[in-house]
Amino acid sequence: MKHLLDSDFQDYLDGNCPPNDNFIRKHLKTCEMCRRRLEQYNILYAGLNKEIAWVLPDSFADNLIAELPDRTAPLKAVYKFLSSEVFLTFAGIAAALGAVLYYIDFQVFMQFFYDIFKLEFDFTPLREEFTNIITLLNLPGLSFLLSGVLVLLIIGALDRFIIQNLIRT
Amino acid sequence: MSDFNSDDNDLIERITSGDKQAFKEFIERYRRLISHIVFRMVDNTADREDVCQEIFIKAYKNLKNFKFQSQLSTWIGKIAFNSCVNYLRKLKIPMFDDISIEEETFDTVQWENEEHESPEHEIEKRDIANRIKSAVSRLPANHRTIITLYHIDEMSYAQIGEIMELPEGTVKSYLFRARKLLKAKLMKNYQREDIFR
Repeated sequence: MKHLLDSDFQDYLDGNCPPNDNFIRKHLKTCEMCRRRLEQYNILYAGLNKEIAWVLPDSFADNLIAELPDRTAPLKAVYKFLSSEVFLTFAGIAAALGAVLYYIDFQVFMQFFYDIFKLEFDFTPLREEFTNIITLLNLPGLSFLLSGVLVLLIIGALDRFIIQNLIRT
Repeated sequence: MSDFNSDDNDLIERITSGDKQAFKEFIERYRRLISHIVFRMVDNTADREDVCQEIFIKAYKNLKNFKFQSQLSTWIGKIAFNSCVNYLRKLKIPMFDDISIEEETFDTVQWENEEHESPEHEIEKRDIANRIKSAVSRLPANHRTIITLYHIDEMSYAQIGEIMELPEGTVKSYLFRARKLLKAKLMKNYQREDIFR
């Protein structure tokens, strides 16, 4: 009689035998020795399936989390800077100056200030310089984009320093 | 092969956006698998927790690069296995690829030594499960790992092969040979009535 091989037993217990392959089942019905060997493999499998004794302690996750670097730290630093009073103040001043230089007719505007404060400084070259830079950049929609950014910055600055302070008080 | 899982995707997104609680969930989800791999590869109990920590930190740093080309369990399993291999290399501990080398010492050293064990060990000897565990622990690290991943973590040959960078056929062959050897050792040291009592 041809007995089963070790690989037959293992395939059988692993469920790797083809469903229509009845050879192993038929043989086991008639062969006492192979039934005994199958039982030995069953015992071995039961031992191998038992959970191992060592596992990480429950506190492992908490201890590890405490040591992890903060992924959002760089973003937080940028946000903190962008929302700082110093940045918003300078951004607001820059935005206001930019808008004034770009959009207002300086001749009439400055004449008004010259007359009132007896100023002698001529702002015209400064305005022309600013206009030249924008022209050199020659980007489509840049004026629109800049004006949008400036308006937002001004609104942000007004909100931060005036409206919020009024509400708080 | 893409192995997209929306649960995993959600968890990864939360972790990569800085949610540490999500990473705690990740650790809890894979703590058992990592423990198994490290237990089988690292003999020194004192070093195991450090190796596990290194594995999870590597996973944390590299999660943003996970592209769902494999299961998340296989991906972290691979990190764990490679970290253990690096650990063994650092300590110059050999990782046997074949059990034939080990087979000789298995017979002559292990079982002979146990004849002179204490009475407590004599009682323990009766426990077949413990004997099997002891026999498994004497296999080479890669065979131990394959047995554990297959029998305890219920992974397929393909998944184990991916973790250990071995062809499926090699995984199957290692597993079969290791079990054959274990069965032979088990039978050799027990009378039939001991086994079937």
